[in-house]
Amino acid sequence: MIGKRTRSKRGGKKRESVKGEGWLLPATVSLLLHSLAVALLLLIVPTTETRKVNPVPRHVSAKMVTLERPEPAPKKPVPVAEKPAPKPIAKPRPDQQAIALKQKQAEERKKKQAEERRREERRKADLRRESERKLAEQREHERLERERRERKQKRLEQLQKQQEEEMLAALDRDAQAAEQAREDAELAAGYVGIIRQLVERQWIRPASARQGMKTVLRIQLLPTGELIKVRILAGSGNEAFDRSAYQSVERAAPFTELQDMEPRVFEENFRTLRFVFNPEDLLE
Amino acid sequence: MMLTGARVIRTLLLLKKPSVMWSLLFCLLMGPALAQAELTIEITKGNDKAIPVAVVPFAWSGSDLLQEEIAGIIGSDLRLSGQFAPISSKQFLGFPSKADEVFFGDWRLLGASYVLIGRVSEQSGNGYVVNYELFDVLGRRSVLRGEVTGSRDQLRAMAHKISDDVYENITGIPGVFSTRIVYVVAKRHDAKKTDYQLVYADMDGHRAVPILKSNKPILAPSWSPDGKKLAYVSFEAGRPAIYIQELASGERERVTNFPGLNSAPKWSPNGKKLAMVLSKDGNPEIYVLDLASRQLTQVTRHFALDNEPAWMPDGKSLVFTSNRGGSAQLYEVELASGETKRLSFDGKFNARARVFPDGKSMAFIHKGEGEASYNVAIQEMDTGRIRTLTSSPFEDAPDVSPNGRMLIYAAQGDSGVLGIISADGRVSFRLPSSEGDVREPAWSPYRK
Repeated sequence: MIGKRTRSKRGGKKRESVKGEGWLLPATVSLLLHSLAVALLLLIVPTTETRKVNPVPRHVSAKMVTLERPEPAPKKPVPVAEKPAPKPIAKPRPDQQAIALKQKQAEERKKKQAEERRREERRKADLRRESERKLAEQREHERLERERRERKQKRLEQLQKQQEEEMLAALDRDAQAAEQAREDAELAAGYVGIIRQLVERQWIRPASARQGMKTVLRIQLLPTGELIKVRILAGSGNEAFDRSAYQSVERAAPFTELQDMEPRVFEENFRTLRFVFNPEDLLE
Repeated sequence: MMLTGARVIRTLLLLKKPSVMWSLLFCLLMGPALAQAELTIEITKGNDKAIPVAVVPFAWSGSDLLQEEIAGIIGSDLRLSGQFAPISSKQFLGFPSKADEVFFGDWRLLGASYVLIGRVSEQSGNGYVVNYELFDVLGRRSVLRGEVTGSRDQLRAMAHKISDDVYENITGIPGVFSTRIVYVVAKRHDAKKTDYQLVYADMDGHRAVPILKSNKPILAPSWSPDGKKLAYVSFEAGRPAIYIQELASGERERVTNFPGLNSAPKWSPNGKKLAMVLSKDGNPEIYVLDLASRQLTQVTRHFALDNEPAWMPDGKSLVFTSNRGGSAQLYEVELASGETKRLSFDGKFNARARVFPDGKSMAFIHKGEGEASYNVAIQEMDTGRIRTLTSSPFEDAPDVSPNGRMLIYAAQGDSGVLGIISADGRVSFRLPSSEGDVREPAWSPYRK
C-alpha cells in the first residue's frame, strides 16, 4: 500500500520538473516505514522466541536448584532466629495485647496452616521431584548401560574384524611366501639335479664299494660355486669308500652353474649341502 | 608364522572359513620344516672310471744304473688292474721325491687324484731300500708311507709290493701284483715233435721261469691254497697221470695213475683234497681224493661226460661241466648229498667254470646261441645273470685273481697268448708271451 501511494504521487503531478524532489521524499518515507516494520518484527519475534526457549532449560534449572538449595538454607536461619527475639519485648500492652494475641494467634494459625500447606506442597513437590529424579536417573542409567553394551559390542566386532583382517593379511603373506618358496624349491631342485649329475660323473667307487655302504658329507660353498670345505659327517666304515666320496665332490667343484642362481635361493639352500653317497648299482 | 602361537590359534578359531583355517594350519606346520631342512643330495651312481694317478719316477742315489724302473713297474701294475689310469710322466711339472716337494695344486692341475713318490737307496750289503709315500691330491694329505727292502735281483718284486700297498690303500681290497701265474707253453717244432713247458711267472708275465719241461703234453695246472705246490696232468709216462710238484724244491709226486683218464685236478679250499676226473670204470666221472688218506670218493654217477670240477669256496660242493643235458652245461653237486642242479641255461656251450673267491659268481667259457665264438663270461650265482667279457674268436681256460677283480685266460689266435681282463670286462691286456702256444693259465693265491 505504501509503495502504491508513493508511486501514484510521483507519477501523478509533475513528472519532469520535480524529478529529484519527488523521488527522494517517498524513498525516505518508505525506508523509514520499512525500518519500522523490520524493527517491530525484530522486537516481537525475539520475545516469543525467548519464552519458547525457557521450558527446555527449566529441567536443567530445576536440577540446579536442588543442588544449590542446601547452601542458602543454613544462611537464613541465622538472621531469622535473631529478628523474632526483640519483637515480643517491644509490645507490652495488656488489652490490646489479648486482641492482638488472638489476632496474632489467628494469624499464626493461618500462617501455620499456610506454612503446613506450603510444607505439604513442598514435600509433595520434593517427592515428585525425587521420583522424577529417580526416574531420570534410572533412565540415564539404562541409557548409559545400553550405550556401554553397544560400545562393547561395537568394539568386539571391530576387534574381530581387525583380527580377521590381520589373519587374512598374514595368510596372504604366507601364501605369497609359500608361492615364493615353491618357486625357490623348484629352482633349487633343478640345481640339485645338476650338482648330483656333476658329482656322480666324478664318483669313482673303489673296488671294495658295496651296495648298502653309506657316507654322509657336508660341504660349504661360496656363491661362485667354489668349495670351501668338505666334512665327513658319517663314515661308511670303509676309508677308501669315504675318500672316494669326498674326492668326487672335490673333483666336481667348482659348481660354476650356481653362479646363475638368484642370491636368495643360494643363501637359503646352497651355502651348506649334505651329500649322501649310497650306491644302488653295486653288488651287496 | 608372523603371529605368535597362542594368538594364531585364537584367531584361527575366529575364522569362519574352514578351508582357510586348514590351509593356514598347513602353512604353520609345514613352514618351519621346509625352512629348516638342509638340502640333501643323494648320490647313488658312480662312473667307475679308472682313477687318475701320478707315479713319479723314484729318486735313486746310487752311482750305477738301476736294473728296473720301479715307478714304471708300479704304473703298469696299476694300469693292468683296470682301476687306475697312470698319468704320463711327460706331463709332470716336477719330480718330487720328498713330501715337502709335493705341490698339490700342480698335481690337481694334471687331474691326478693321487700322487706316489719314492726314493731308492743302497742298503749296506747287497740290497736296496725303497721309501715311498702316497698323497691324496684332492684331500691334500699323505695317506700312506712305507719302506720295502730287498736284494738287488728283487727290484720287480719290491715294485709289485708297493703296487699292492697302494692299490689296497686306494681301493680297500688287497692287491694281487705280487701273485704269480703258471701256464703251459707248447712249442711245436714239426709234426712229430712238440715241446711242453710248465712256466712260472709274475702275474704281469715277467720273470717267467719254466719249472717243468716235457716232450709229452702237460695239462691243467692247479695251485695248492698255500701257493707252495702245483697239481697237474702229465703224459710223460705215456698216458695221463696226476702229479703234485713242490715249487721251492721241485720235488714231484705222482698221485693218480688209474687206467683211462686222470685229468683236471683241482685243489680243495682247505688244501686237503683234490677233485679230479677219472674214467677208471669206463665213463669219466668226478672224484675227490683225500690227500692224507689217499681215499677216493666218487662224486658223480652219470652216463654222460662229467668234467672240469671247481670248488665252491666253502668246500662243500663242486661246479662241473657235463653234457648230460645234451650240450655242455654247468652243474653244481653237493658233496654230502650228491644233489645236483644245473647252473647254466643260456647258450649251447658253457664249460670249465672257476668260482670267484666270494662264491657269488663264476667265470667260464660261453658260446652264445647262434654265435661262432667261445668267450669268457661271468654268471652271478643268485640271479643266473650272465655277461660276456671278451670278444676274440676263441678263448679258453679263464681263472680268477685271488681278489676277484681280474681274470686271466688263454686267447687263441694263430698261437695262444694270455689275456688279462678286469672282472667288469672294461679293461683287457695281452701279457708278453714267449714263443709258442700258451694255454691254461692258473692264478696263484695271495702270497704270504
